[in-house]
Amino acid sequence: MLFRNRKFLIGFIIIAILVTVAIVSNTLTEPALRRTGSFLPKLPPASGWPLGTDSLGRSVAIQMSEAILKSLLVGLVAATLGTFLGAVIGFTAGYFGGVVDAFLRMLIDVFLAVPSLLFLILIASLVKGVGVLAMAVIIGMFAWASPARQVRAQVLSLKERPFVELARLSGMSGLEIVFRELMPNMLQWLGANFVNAFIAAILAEAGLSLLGLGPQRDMTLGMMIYWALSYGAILQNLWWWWLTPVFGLICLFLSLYLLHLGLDEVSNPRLAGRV
Amino acid sequence: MTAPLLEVRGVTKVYASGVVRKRTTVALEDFSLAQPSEPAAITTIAGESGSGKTTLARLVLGFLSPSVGQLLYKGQDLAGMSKREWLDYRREVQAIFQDPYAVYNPFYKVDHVFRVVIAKFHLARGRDQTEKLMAESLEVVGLRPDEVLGKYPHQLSGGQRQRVMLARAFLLKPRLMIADEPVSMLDASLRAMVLDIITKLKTDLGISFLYITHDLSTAYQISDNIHILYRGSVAEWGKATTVIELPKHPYTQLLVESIPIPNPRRRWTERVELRPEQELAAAETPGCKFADRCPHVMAVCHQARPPLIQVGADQHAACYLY
Amino acid sequence: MNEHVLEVRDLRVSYHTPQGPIKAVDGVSFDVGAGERFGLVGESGCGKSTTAMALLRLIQPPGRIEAGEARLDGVDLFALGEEELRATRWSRLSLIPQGAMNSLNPVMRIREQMADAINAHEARQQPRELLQRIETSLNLVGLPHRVASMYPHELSGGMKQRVCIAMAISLGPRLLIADELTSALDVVVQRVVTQTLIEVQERLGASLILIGHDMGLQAQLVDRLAVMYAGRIAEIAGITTAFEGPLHPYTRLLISSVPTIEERKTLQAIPGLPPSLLNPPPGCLFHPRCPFAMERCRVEAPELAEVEAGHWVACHLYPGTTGARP
Repeated sequence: MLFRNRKFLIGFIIIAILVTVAIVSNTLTEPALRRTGSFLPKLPPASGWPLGTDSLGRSVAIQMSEAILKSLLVGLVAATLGTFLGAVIGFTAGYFGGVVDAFLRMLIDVFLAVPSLLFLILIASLVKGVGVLAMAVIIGMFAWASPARQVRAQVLSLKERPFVELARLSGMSGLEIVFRELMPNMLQWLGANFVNAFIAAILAEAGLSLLGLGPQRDMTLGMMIYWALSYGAILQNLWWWWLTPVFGLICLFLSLYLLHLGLDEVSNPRLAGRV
Repeated sequence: MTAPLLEVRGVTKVYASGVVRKRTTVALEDFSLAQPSEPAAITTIAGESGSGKTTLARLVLGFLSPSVGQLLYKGQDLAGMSKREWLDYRREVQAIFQDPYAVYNPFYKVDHVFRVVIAKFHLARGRDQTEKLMAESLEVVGLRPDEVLGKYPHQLSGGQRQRVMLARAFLLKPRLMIADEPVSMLDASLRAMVLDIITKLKTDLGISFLYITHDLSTAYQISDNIHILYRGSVAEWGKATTVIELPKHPYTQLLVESIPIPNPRRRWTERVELRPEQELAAAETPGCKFADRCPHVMAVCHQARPPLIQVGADQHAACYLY
Repeated sequence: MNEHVLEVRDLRVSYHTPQGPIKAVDGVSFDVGAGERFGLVGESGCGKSTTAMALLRLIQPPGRIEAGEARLDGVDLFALGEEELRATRWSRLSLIPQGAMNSLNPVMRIREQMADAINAHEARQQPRELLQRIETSLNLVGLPHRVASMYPHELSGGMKQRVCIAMAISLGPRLLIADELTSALDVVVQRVVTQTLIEVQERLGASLILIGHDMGLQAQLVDRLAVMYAGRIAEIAGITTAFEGPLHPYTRLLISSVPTIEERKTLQAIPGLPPSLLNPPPGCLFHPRCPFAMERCRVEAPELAEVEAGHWVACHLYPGTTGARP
């Protein structure tokens, strides 16, 4: 049913293609080819190196196949962490109320008020030698506050709805109500939120990497751009080196955004222009 | 003598709001009621908005606790019941609500409301028994299983949804049903059907009802007893036909007078005045709450709350006129 | 014979959905006389509110007025241009829509909202004159002057509805349409508000179309009643005739399903469900639920025809209901 929506379908296909190509080329590439100097440097795209080579003699295409996957990994881990943490905190605060809610609400407000990008920069610069996973976790740390607040708001409003009262009348306990009655209603929203967080995380990683705060020893799309800029790719007109990861980012972003729009339309048919 | 089915003893419910400056609202004041176990009866709790009737419903259903007074079911106080006892209570005391849509979880098909209670209260074992039970219950309310089972709430009409709720109640065979404005959101033709089902459940299955409404016309049609609430206090109570045909309390009289009778030959003749002060915030008064609107107000009315006085064989009114 | 203030002929309104057109109003015709109170009653989804919105040309896409004429004092409302239409609304034809009291702007004082309505239609007034008119309108609906400086949330439901009445009559329209004016109000307040409406209508000499589903209110207030079912009119009759001698089977069932404090009786339910307006059944729309349905009813839709003076029915049980158009 979700796949019948055109936007969702297109987005999904693009991502699927990117991921498949990346995985396939990753497995097919001999490790030796990844090392610097495997190719002649600064070569424009040609048959042996379809996306050209960089100043260090590495194939841009090979780098891309790794970078796409790593960027997606960052997005995945950060989004999962953020959404999951946000959901748990939101549910707890919303359903149990009282002191617990007051405390959690304060926590949520603090994290929301904090300029996350600045803090990310601060933390990333303090922690030396971040790996991809560590990056993901750091980004995820700042992604839970918004979903938490919204989940809490939803739970608060759903809690008073007659069907929850009916559930109580049917003898369900509090926990049962949260999991069997409230949670399913939130799944769609959580799904949309997850996709949002995914996009934001990928862009955050790209931004941090560009500033030089990224995982230096791994290859992500952001890092590729960073290396390209560090080696003066623009000035030397090595367009294939910096344009490719930028294009890759745009593709990822667009496809995820289409997924998001598709999800929105499915859960809210009025957006699709239907009555 | 067996304990009454439901007994409400001098219950008062006060709400406090605001953190810095506490504002108290008395939603229900000194309310008492005794619903006997036999025979099954439909008791109406009637009142306009702000009368406290919804608060009473929530108190009886255990969603609220009284500030003062007790609620007893079969002689047992609701306060301090164990989880086990609450489960038993839920088996015997059920409800049907006003909004036939909001009462369903939109995520699930309507079967969900049956399956939850069948599982919780072990009413059937295995798929066949479950299906048979559901079909039986739907039949009582005039629905076919293929008409409603397997469908989502938004695919059914308001009348069908409300009847499914009644079928769910039938499934449980409770002793007491709280019906909170069950027909006010339904069309005229469906009201008749739902009211008919309620009456049938009373006469055929011996289920007593607490019918909460603002509509005296429907109350007149189906109830045995009636309690009229005004701003949290009882104005009048007694046998439904008597109270509506011969109201003694000035508020009840005003209420009955204001009903639009569906008969073009019996039109309203007098003009009713409603001063703006009466419509807005209710001033706290130690006396009768209706005093500022009452055409028969006397000095004593402002001094203390009028007690409930027996004014007829089956009728009590809280008014100094008597 | 009174000139009719409003003449509606064969009004058709459809909502175009991906599944097809929903015929919300399918050939509605009726007349409203000068100073008359005309009731339009029916259950939810019968098209009564849509009719009101259509008269004021407030139907939004995907809804569309497909056909029909609506003459207000001889002028076809559907043929008016934008400017003339704007001028007509409020000053000659006014609507108090369903849930009007919830549409009052919560951040504007009452007098500002009333002033807006007046200024939108007449040349900018002097502030003092404007206030004068506002206070006069408030007087007419029985509200004290201080209400003008209040905000909507400070007023009770009944007071808000009366403000809506005041706004609707501020320019002295010829025809006032009230859609479910009192359905959210308590019984006593309902009486006061409807009382106000009638007083205002009589003082203005305007005509009134009272739309609602409460048969009791219709019995108390209107002179003539039109019963709608599934987008069509089933019957139009004088109010007493409608209650004491209804002809259309639907009207009969409807009347006997209304609870009353006059007597305790078994209320009549109408079995079945209203038809789908997307795929309506052929012939008479009521035939699947009608206790008197004949073969002809399944095939041929009855036309609304006058079977006695002032009494119109659309039913094959009565002679003269084929071909004759009002």
